[in-house]
Amino acid sequence: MKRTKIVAGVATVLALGLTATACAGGGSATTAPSANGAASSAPASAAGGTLSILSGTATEHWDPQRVYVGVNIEAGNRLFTRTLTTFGPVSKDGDPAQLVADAATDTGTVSADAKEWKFTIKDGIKWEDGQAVTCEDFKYGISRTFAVDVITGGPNYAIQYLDIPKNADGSSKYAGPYKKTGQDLFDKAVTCDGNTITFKMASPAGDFNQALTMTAFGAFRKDKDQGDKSNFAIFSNGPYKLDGTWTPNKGGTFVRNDQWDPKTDTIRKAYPDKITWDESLTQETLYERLIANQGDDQNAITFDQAPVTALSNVQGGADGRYTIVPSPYTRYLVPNFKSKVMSNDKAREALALATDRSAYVTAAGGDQVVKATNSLINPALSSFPATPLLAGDKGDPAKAKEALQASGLTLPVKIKVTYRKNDTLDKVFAGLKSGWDAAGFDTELVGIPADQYYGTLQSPDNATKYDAMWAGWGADFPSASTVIPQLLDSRSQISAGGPGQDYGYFSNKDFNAGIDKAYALTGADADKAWGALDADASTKYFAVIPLINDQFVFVHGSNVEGATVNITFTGYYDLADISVKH
Amino acid sequence: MADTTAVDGAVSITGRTPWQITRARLAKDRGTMVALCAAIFFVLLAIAAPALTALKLINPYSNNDNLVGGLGSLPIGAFGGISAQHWMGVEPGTGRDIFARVVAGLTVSLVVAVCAVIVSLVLGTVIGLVAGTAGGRVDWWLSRLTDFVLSFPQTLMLIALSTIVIDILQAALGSERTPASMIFMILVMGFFGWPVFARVIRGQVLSLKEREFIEAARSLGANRRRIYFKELLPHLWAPILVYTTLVMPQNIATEAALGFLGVGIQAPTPSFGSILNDSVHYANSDPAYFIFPGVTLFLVVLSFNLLGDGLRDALDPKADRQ
Repeated sequence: MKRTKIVAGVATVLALGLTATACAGGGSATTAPSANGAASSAPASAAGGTLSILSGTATEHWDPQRVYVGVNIEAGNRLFTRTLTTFGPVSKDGDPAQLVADAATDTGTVSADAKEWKFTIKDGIKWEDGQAVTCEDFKYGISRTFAVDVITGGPNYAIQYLDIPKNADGSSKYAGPYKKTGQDLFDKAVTCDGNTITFKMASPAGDFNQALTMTAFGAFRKDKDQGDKSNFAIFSNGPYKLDGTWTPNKGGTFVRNDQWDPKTDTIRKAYPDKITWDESLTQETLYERLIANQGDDQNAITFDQAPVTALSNVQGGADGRYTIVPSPYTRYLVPNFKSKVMSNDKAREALALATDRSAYVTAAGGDQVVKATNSLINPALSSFPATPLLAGDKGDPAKAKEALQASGLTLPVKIKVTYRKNDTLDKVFAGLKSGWDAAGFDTELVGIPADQYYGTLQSPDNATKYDAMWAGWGADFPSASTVIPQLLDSRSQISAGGPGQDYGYFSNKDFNAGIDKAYALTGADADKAWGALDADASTKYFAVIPLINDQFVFVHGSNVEGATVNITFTGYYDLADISVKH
Repeated sequence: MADTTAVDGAVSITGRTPWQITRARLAKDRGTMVALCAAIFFVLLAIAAPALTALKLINPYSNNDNLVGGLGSLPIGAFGGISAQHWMGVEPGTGRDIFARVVAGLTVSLVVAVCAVIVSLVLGTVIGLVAGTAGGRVDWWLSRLTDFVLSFPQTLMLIALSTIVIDILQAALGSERTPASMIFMILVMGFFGWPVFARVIRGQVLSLKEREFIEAARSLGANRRRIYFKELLPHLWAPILVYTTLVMPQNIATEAALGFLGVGIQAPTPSFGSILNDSVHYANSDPAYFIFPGVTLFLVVLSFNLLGDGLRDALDPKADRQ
């Protein structure tokens, strides 16, 4: 299990700024391996030492079924929750990570109609107390997602995919392993036969084995389940276990799990002996520390991206220790179909035409770290349609004005645009406002604090309050089925409780029919169908105005080797094959 | 010191009004004159700013993408991108002209500060006059009210009330956020500022009302209104003027502090506070961004403070700095 050498030249590319990563066209997601100087090989002696993780973000959940934040999916999977399938690390020559078997013997067998998936669990995978991880443990773990009143925060893909009838309000007839209502329904949808687990899908799901990479589909031992109290009580079946307890807002320490058998694991190299996780910091202080690179901080990495204000210091102070990678997110603008102005097709078109994406690019850190886009789907996904910008990256206020005059509205058209308030977006939206105002809009900007932002958009009370809204979204796993339907399918999103993620109340029968068709397709056909829907949304219906894809900048200490960002799998430093010099 | 006027009696002693005396004293005080000129300059600049913006002589809102660059979009060139067009350099991330933003921010600051002072002054003068002349129970209650308001933590109140009250104001006026926030700050800062005036006025009135000319007026049958406006008020202009110039810089600083904390004027309208708040993040990479607006704010506050001090010295007959 020796690490191969990192190809020569990587360091040079890095020194040049590593910017060509995002615009690699089509969908091939390249990544930017980072190495420090000549010491790029990691022989077996790489094992050992202490890796330190500096974090400015408090972990909300470690319970595998409740984890939905990319960082925690990545870290949870690499440290203590093995899943049936996972994404392997990025190869040394930068090829994107592949879907691989983890706790299962292969990436699954799907029936011809894509409605039944079968996996066989490997022998020799054990919990930290030495008991074997069984098929029943996986089945129990997945069942916990259905206990929506206790196991909150996690993704609901199990509820969405599995063949369990739903109530009229969209909730599942199975209420989870605590209430046990509808247990027989779940037992039919997920069955164990020895080491073989079988899933029955509600509708064809060719990408179900990708969903399984989320820790929400990980195993959980029934006798260790304390419901909500299990939130930070980590019980490991991976290479590390928690030493002592996890303290929210402070962190914890992970040590080796001696029950983990490297022979059963082709993904995790588990080099460091110990991993400390300090989440009591702020982004700004942790970046000052990483740039200063003193003492133990030389062994440190972070999952927080560099704040815009620190970027120039990163360039000057952390040369050779930083990585620029495409973020999994797309930032976009949602015209509100419930607003009087934006329900007008021409007004939406005018808004799209007048949008000055170059102002966004500059204000958010420059073209090395931000790329203008006109697609909702991230370039890292194979379904990325690369929809051309309607009027260049600066927009065309004159053309927009014509469209606005054709709308029948009286100029200047007053609009209220809202965004998640921070210093960067304040500047971004001041720039966007100039473009819109030049086209005949009279824009009022409303910045809403981050902790209330999405709550405000999703509240039915605010349905008609804003004419356009900023939003950001990233795919949960590399399939557009976690983007288009999540944002624009009115049937699954809009309810009496609000618009879900369809913040603009876009509702279109043809579009929804297109979603159903795309779901049924697989491979390149599915990619094409999702891409076409994306392009329709931004250029035909003007249901969204995609703005930019940002790039994340991460910095690591000088002693850290193999700090590679895995953009296919969540988009952070991959803990699978990271090591520290010691 | 020789008294030249008395030498030959030919030089007559011309009577001078208090204002003439004050002006003469002020003219001799170089520091105060400089402060006065600076204050007048800032006020004129603030008044002219909207016109300058309309004439496109200053552009606080236009981006200059070509003036920033590199990772983090920092200004290109030394000292935050200083040039003949951009005297204070440009803002990182947008390339907006910092001088224009500072001037536009100055307008907002001074409008808020002046209006708040006027609110404080009117409230304080009325309450001080009534308390001083009425005496007795009315005086006791009004003085307790003054103490009560004075002990309120003003900044804390502003922060706590801001979001809700600004929303209500905005809905009531049907206006945009900026005017609503300005009115909110004027009302709250004005309201919490009156006790300063009320105390001084009351003290002055208490000593004035025992003076012979008031008694004379009263014995001649002058009504209360005449006593207030014709007899008392002319003697109160001096303290009112002094405290106005002293409260002004306080208000400017409070407005900046609120902007810094993010509860004052909201983007994209510039204000000292929001500019400084943004610039501290660039303290390492672009110190000029912090220095120019910071120094300007310092000079504005300093000029009003010095002016107030100088006025107090000039107006107080007992002051002697020779």
